[in-house]
Amino acid sequence: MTKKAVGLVLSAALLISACTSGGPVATGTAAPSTAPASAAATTAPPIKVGFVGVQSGDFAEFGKETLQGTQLALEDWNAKGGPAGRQLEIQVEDDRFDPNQAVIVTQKLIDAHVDVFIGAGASSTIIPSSLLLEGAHIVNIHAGSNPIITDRGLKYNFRASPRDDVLQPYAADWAFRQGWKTVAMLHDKTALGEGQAIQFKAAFEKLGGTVLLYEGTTSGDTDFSGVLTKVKGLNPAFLYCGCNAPQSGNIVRQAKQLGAAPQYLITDSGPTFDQVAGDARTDVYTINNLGPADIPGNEDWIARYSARWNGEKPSAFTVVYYAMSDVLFYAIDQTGGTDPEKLADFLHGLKGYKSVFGTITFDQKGDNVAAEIGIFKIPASGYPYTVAERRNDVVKP
Amino acid sequence: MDFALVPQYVVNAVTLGSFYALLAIGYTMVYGIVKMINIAHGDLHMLGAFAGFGAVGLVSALLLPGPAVLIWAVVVAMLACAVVGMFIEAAIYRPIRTDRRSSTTAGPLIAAIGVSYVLQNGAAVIWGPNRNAFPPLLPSNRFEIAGAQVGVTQLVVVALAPLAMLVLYLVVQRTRLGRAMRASSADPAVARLMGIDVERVILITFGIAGAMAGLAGVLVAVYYGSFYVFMGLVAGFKAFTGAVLGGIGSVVGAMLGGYLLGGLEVLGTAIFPAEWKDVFAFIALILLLTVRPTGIVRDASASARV
Amino acid sequence: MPRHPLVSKYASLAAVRDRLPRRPAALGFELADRRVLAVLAVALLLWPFFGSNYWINVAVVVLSYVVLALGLNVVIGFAGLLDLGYAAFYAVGAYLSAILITTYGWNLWICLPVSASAAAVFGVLIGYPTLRLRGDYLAIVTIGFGEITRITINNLTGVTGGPNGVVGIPRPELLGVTFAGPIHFYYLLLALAVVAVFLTNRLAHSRVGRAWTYLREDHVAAEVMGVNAQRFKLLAFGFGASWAGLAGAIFSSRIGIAAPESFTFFESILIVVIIVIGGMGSIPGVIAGAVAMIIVPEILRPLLTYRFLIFGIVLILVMRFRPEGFIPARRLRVRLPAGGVGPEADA
Repeated sequence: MTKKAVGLVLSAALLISACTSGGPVATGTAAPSTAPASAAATTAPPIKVGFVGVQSGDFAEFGKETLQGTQLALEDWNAKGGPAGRQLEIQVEDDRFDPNQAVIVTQKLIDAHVDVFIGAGASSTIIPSSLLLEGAHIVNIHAGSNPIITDRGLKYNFRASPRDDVLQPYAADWAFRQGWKTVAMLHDKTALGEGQAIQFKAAFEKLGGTVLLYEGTTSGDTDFSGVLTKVKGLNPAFLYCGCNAPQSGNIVRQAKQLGAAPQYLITDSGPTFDQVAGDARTDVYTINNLGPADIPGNEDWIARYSARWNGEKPSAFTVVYYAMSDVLFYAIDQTGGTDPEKLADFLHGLKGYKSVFGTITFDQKGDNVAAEIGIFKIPASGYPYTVAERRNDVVKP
Repeated sequence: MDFALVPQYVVNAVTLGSFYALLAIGYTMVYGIVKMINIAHGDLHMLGAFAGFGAVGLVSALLLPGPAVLIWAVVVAMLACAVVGMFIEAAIYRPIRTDRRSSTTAGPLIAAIGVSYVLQNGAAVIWGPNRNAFPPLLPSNRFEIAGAQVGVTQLVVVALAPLAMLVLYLVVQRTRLGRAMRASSADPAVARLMGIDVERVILITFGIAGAMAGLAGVLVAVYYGSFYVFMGLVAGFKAFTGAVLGGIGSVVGAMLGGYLLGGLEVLGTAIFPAEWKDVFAFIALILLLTVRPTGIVRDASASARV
Repeated sequence: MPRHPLVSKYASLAAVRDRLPRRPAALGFELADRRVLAVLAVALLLWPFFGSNYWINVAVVVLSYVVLALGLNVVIGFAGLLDLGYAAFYAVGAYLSAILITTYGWNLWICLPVSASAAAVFGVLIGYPTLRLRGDYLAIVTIGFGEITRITINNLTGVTGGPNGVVGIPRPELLGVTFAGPIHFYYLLLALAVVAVFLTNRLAHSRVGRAWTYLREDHVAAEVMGVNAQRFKLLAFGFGASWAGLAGAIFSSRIGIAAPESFTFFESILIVVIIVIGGMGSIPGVIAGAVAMIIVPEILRPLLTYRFLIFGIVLILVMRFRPEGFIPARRLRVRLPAGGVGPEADA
């Protein structure tokens, strides 16, 4: 028998043995999921939480910050004895922001019989992943902002953060009220960034504002001098950046060096933005959901987070992930278990839950319609930011 | 296009081009001598930024003036990257290259991909994937020159890069080492017969290429203010494009190609919406190669035409 | 027609045909023991009934890459053209099928040949400017085309949905069976992979395949001998691309969306790595490469951030210690008679 044949047979054997060895092993992650013994003392089975985010590759910092938020929520609940008296365990998978990978790992988690699912990180990965989870009847919660996600009428899918068609029109309205009638807009050509920019543009123009420039950047670029020179030549009242935080940081920094615009409004901000922008971060405005520093009773959350994670400060995404994990565990606790029908019904009916980033009220589509948002001004000291204006009414898109 | 902005566009293009040119030189030198596309070159430039940052941290207690710290950081980064570059060549590329079983193009290429993965992800494991701020070492004053905004750091970069390239050019053209490098590029077998230790020349070439990458890394970090473990990905790719544009294998070509690429990108942004910038640059590249299959500098590498 | 005196009478392969080894088996596997092949076939057909959905999914991905790698193998392995932008054809197939299905209501089965043809045409178009370019210049141009395709897809929001991609592609149906789970796609792709292996193997041993080999080994000599370099290069690009088009159409229907993130430069590189690690030019090698490159990272998944570090180390080690690949292509060796083969030998 030739070497080739041996090689083939070995490959086949590997394939067969691998698949019949059952599902993958539940993995531990950076945080040990130990906790003091629950008062019930009976060995109730642990609750398996599936988490999908970017864990490797050049977007890994986003995945890391969101995972840390979820893990803190998990640890907080485990310390209280766990929801419904059961300890939480997490299995983390990597989707690299790629829908193909998202499908693979979601299937992997479904096969591992996770009880609930948190993630994925981006709209393009959430869309196929949530379809699989719907078919498997697993309640899943995420922070994707693209409206499409919940417009599909899925029962088990919940979105904790505000939709773009709520956030951006509010931002446009605020900007217009500041007397800023002309804008130059940049977006990063991702589903998130461009989605935000589209909504902002439509709303701003409807109010009577003029969009002087509407162009996209390439991800991975660090030099924006060309397009910013173009912006400067147009003399806008402000520059709008619908880009991810590091890119916005570079853009604002270079824009201020060039003197491209007098005011700046960005969408994604946080400690990464602060780092990259350096001194240029001062007096930049950002639109976001409220954070712990702005909600009475939650101010010390930031300190707790920093203490847990080596002095890092949380980003807006971190906060949302903590809150949505927290509300999911709360639902488990209140319904006494992980029955997907009960969980879904409970969450759909949930009103006024106080979380670390504001109130959560889910509607029939799974959107959080009570999401409190505001415009923030970034001080020289960086995050947490000062509130410039907050919106108090509950609005549906 | 608004013509009043042209001076600013020129400044942008020259600055950007300086970075591309510095990196492109490393690519082209390595290619010229071993006919290999060193995909990991961009990641060396990332290591340069980290090395520079470490160097700055080492002397922070001494409270030296900014420019002195910068020089110190540059020197450390260049040395560190030269060493790493030579190590990779000696430990990984040379054994693969001299193994008779290897395919001449695919083997080193795939190994380079592997090295790139190791450098990026190894760095991510050690330092984390987050962005890091690089301390501002030079004053942030800005001037206006002929209608364009220019900063101090920018001037330093724009002056330093061509200087470094000029030094390199002189080394290649006027010194014995340079002659040995050119001979080994042109025909390694004959060079060996003439008494040149080709393997040592290759090693030195990798060292020089690494040093240039390290220099570029520190300058990028100082100029843009931040650095992170995956910054080499796109940078390396752009540098390679610049090197090919100019005629891969030729040091002069790499310089020209780097500046040309910077110019193309800025021009593309000026005329078209910014998201088409790279398409514009690539189309220009393809058209150029169709008309002139070896890049700007002809005969850069023997038998480039089919 | 009298033969020119300078052309050896062995100028045609016919003269050495009787010295060639026995014609290879249909699937290209020189398996002395056909029973092994039978066992393998049965295993491949039956294991999904015992396996978990996750592993069937992984197998589906492996098979997709087998098809892709076989297609690219024609371009790089057979014809020796270093194409590093193969993902562009994958994207064309995926998007075209996605748009036709969601906008015009076509079904996947009609889209398959349409996607394959469109990708083939695209391949010829991309191949055309590269005809005069050597090795590494060819590579950069193909990279350029790959990036141009991806960026254009990302930018043309009106047609392709931009970064959101084309969403809502329904599950395909065949003869009343809805392809709801990975197991359906498994059998579809298994069939496609078998066809691909068969076709590329026949091609390798045909006149076309030989022409590609001549071009790859010695371009100048081949042209002198009358091989039309232009035509065969374009044929390689087109034929190779068509497989990516097929795989792409199936891919977008399987995932339900077609998004630009799936068609990056690193996707192209992954397929190249599969071919080189498996054994360039060799069909069993390519299959082994696909299996290794997909299954190993899957097994390494628990390692999260270390995954790609180890992957890189594996790449280096393989190229260092087994540069010819897992299952290298067999070089055709012909033993010539002791008296020589020139005209004078027969005197």
